[in-house]
Amino acid sequence: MLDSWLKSIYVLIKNWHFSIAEALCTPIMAWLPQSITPHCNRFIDGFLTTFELVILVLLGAFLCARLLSGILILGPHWAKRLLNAYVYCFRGTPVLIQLWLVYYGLAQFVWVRESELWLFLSSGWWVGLIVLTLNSAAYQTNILFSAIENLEPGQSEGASSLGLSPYLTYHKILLPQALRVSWPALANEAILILKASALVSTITVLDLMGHARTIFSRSYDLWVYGGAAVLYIALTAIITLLAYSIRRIVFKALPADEWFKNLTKKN
Amino acid sequence: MESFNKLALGATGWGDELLFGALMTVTLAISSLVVGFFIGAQLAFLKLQPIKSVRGFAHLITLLFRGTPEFLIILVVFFGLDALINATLSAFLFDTSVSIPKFWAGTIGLGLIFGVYASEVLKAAYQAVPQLTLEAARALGLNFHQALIQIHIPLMWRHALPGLMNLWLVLLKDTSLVAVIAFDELLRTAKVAGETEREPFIFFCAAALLYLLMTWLSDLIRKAIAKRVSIVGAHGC
Repeated sequence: MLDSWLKSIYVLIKNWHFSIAEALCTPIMAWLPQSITPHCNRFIDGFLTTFELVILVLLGAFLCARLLSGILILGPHWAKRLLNAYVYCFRGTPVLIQLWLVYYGLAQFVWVRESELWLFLSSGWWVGLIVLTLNSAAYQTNILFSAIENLEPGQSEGASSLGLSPYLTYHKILLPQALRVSWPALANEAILILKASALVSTITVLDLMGHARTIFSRSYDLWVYGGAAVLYIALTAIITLLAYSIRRIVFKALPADEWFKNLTKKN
Repeated sequence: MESFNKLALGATGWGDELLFGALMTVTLAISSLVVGFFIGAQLAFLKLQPIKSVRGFAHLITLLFRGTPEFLIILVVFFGLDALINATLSAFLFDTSVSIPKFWAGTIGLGLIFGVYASEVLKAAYQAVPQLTLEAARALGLNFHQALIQIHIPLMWRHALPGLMNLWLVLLKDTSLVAVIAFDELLRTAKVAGETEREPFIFFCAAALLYLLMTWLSDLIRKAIAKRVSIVGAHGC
């Protein structure tokens, strides 16, 4: 049941990608370098796949990080230790090993292959989504938590003296201020995730990098990677702009030049 | 329990191979650090030039390298360097095809990535030291180079080191990308071992633990350095 659902959604999305690619590629065909023209459709498909993956990962990880940093502030001692261990493990190991551990490593166990989860764990896209979400959640938790820790203690003291519960203090007082302070760091993390998402091509996902590697393995033409690099830079620009406009709308924040200065300060 | 025996040292297990892989990872990271520091210093030098177009060029390179995935850069360097060298050789009528060792391709790729980020750190560190120190040194009769090397650069370290140590941690984790171009470092060794023994899970776990050990040690060193160079009243770390 779920299986056929997922498959039909997959087909729908792919059809959508290729119809966009059809519409885009015909008019710009003349301007593209010769080595890229025949593969334009695939580049657009990869571009959209990467974009969707990154957006889903960032949204999922942000929701997780809100929850987890809340637990780090309010939760019981054992939960804090557990979460610290989780954050430490995901921040201390490369993304590639995390992806391979889940995709290749878990497949060795029979009980995993026979369980319900195998539907997701056998697909590179889902593994990529899950692992990148967990990874980004660890980094974002770290960012949010350290931002909350660096807020003035008067904030939470004032809130509790006004009779707010610890949950409300966290949710209405601490988190909004922490988000405002740490938004540049979160945007930075978004770009790191975009770059890390290229690694899902090693677990058979045909994202932008996956398409580029397939095309390159047939033609050995380095311009293919050049085209992919241009599209990745475009994606970076899109994500930076998105982060900037969200900040403008939600936080009514700084003028653009100051924002970019902040963004380049943190590497 | 049997799977743990496969991690033993010696001829029966893969433990020594994994440790050798970890050694290769550290070697690769250190050599990339050296190459990357050199590249970063040059880029930072360009970014501090008074001529606008020179600065613009350096910033453009930074932007391009920061916007593309590290993985893509490594692949382009790996395949591109060979093509470049062969094209140069054939231009001088040497009809041979050479292939650059994977270690050096990886070093140059990782060095480029490290260098681009390091240039920002070094530039910021240069600017964080008050220009007055340079002027005071000049007033004391040192020429520009003496003032730069003996006065300004030693003062830069405390601003640059925390940032550079962060970049080192990133670099250490990025070395795993070289596994994809089949250089036998830690991750690749774990993968090969896992495929041979048909038990990838335990080998990837062992490799992950070794990575954790390396980052933990680096973090200890980072904290010690940050404590040593930190300025009272400024949070430079």
